[in-house]
Amino acid sequence: MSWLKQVLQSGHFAVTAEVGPPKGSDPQVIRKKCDLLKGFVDAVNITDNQTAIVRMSSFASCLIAQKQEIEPVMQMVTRDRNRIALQSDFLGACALGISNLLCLTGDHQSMGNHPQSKNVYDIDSIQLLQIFKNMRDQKVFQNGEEVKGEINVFLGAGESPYADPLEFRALRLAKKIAAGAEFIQTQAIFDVDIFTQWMEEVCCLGLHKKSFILAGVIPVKSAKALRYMKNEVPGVVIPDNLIERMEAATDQKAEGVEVCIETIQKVAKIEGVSGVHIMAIAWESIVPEIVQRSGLLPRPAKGEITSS
Amino acid sequence: MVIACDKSGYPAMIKYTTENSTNHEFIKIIKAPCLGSVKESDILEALEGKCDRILLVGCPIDSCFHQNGSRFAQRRVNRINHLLEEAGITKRVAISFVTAEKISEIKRTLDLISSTPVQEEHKP
Amino acid sequence: MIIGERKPIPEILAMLGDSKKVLVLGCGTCVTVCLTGGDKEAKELASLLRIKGYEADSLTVERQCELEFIHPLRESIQSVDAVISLACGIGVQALFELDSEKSIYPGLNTTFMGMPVKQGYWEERCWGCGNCIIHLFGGTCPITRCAKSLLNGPCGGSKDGKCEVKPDRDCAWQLIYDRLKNLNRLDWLLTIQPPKDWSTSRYGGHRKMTREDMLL
Repeated sequence: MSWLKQVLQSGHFAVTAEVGPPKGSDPQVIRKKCDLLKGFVDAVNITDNQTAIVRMSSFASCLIAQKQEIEPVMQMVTRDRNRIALQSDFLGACALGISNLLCLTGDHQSMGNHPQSKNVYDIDSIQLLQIFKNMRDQKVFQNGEEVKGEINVFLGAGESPYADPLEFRALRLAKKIAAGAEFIQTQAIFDVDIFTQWMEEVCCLGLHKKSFILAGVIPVKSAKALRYMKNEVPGVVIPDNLIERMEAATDQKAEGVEVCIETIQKVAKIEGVSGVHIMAIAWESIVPEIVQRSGLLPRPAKGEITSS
Repeated sequence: MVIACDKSGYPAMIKYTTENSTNHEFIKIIKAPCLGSVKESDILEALEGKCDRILLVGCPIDSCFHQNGSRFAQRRVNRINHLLEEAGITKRVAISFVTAEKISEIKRTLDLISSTPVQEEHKP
Repeated sequence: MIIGERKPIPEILAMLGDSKKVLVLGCGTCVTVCLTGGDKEAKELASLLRIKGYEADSLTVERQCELEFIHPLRESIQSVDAVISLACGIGVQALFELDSEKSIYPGLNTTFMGMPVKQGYWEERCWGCGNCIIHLFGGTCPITRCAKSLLNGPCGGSKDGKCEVKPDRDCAWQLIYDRLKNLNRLDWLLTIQPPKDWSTSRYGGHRKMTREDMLL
C-alpha cells in the first residue's frame, strides 16, 4: 500500500520532493539524492525524461530509490509511449512494488534535446488516468480484456492553477479527479493570493475532498532565475515585488530559501491543501533545510500510521 | 537592360541619357505601362540572354501612378534576386524610383550594379 | 488544399546531376493556389535552369495526380533526361506510374493540408485522422491544431492564447474553449473524451477508398 497515501489519509500534511535522474547510467546519482532526502520527505517523484531531455528512465530510477528505502512516485508521460507500452509498464511497476504513479502528458519533444524525434501522444494524461484506474478497479485493459493479478497504485496528476484559460482550470482539475487522480501536485506557486483564489474555487467544487492537493514550490537561487521563470515558463505567475525582494537581497540564495519557506507556511494554512511538493531542481540538497525550517519535521514514521 | 514605366521611368531615362555621356553599355531601354506589369518570368527570360543586369526604373513607391505597381515590382525584384542567389547565378536585378526631375538615383544604381562582377554561368 | 514548399534550388540542381534536357512540370491545382508549383513557378524554374546552362522547358497540367491528365505528357517526358515535378508527392508518384524508367524528381517538399488564412500565409488545418469530430470541439480540430493532439486539453502551456510549442500559433484549446463558451456548451468539455481510435489514420496503415458503383 502506498506510504504517501497512508500519510495523506491519516491527515498528516504530506511532503514530497523531486529527483531528476542522470543523463547517464550511474545509479549512484539517484542513490545520493535519495539519501539526502530520506527522513525529510514522505515520497520522492522521479521525473520521466522531463522537458523531453533523455535521462535514465523514471521506472529504473524508482527501483533504485526503493532499494534506498525511500518511497518513489513514478512519473509517466504520454509523449514517448503508446497505450500498449504504458499499460505494460504499469503492470511492471505494480509487479515491482511501485505504488505511486503521476500521469502527465509531457512536454513536446521540440523543447528537448531530440527535437527530430517522432512523438506519440496516443493518449493524454486524463485518458491515462482513466485507463490505470480501470485496470486497478475494474480489472480491465483499455480494450476491455481482463487484467489479472493485484494492482495497488495511488494515482496522481499535475495541475497548473495559473495556466490559460484561467476560468477553466478548476473544472479541468475536476475532470482529472473524475478520471482517477487521487492526488494532485501543482505547478510552482509564487503568488499565494491567486493560488488562494484557485483553492477557493476548488473547494467550492468539493474537489479537495475527492483528491489530495499538494502545493508545488520551487526554491530559487537568484532574481535572474525568477525572471527567467516569469518570462519563459507558462503557468508560473511571479509577482513583481518578489523579484524586487530577491534583487534587493544581499544573499539571493538564502533569500530564495526564505521565500520558499514562507510560501510553504502560507499555503499550509489554506483550506484544501494537504501537503507540499518541493521541486528543488538541481538543488535537492536544500530540501532538508527547507523542510526543517518550515516546521515539517519530524516526518511520520512507518508504524506510526496503520493502513486502513 | 532597362525596363522603365512610361509615367516616370521612361521620361527620367530620356533625361538621363540626354544629360549624361553614356559610359554604361545599355542593351536596350524597354517601355512598360507600369513596373507592376513586369512579371518575374519576363525578367528571368531577359536574363537568359547575354544580359547580366536589369534595371527597373519607375515611379516612387508611394506615388506610383497605378497605386501599387512600384511596390509590387520591388517585391518581385527582391524575390528574383533571392532566386538567382539561391541558384548560384551572379546576374542581378535592381530597381530605381525616380521622377523626371530627380534622376540622380539612376546614376547611383547603374554605377552600383555595374560594379558587381559577373561570372560566366556554366552547367556543372 | 495540399501545401508544398519548393525544395532549395541547390538540392534540385544536385538531383539533376548530369542531366542535359530537363522538363519542369507544374500542377494547376493545390500548388498553384499556394504559389509554389503552378505554371508561373514552373516557368521561373525552367528559366533559372536555362540560365544555368540546362536545356529546360516547362509544362503545366490541371492536376498531376490524375493519370488521365498526365497521360498526354508521356512523349514530352520520354524526350528529356530528367523531370522536375512541382506537384505534391501524389503527383510525383503518379508520374512514376506513367513512366517508371525516367528520372523524375520532386521539386517540392509536400508539407500539410491547410488553407490560406490570409493572402500569402497558409496554416495546417487537417491531419487526415479518418474520423472527424471537429463538431465536438467548436469547429477547431484538436488533433491537427494542438501540438500534442490532446482530446482533453488544454495542457497548461499556452501563453496569451498562443501555443508553447509554436508561439506564433493560436493554442487550439483556447480557441475551442472560447467558441464553446460563446455557444454555451462548455459542458461538452467536462466529458472525458476517450482514447482515439487511430486505426483510421495513417497509423493504421496505407489507406484507400472505393466507390463500387463507379468502378469500370
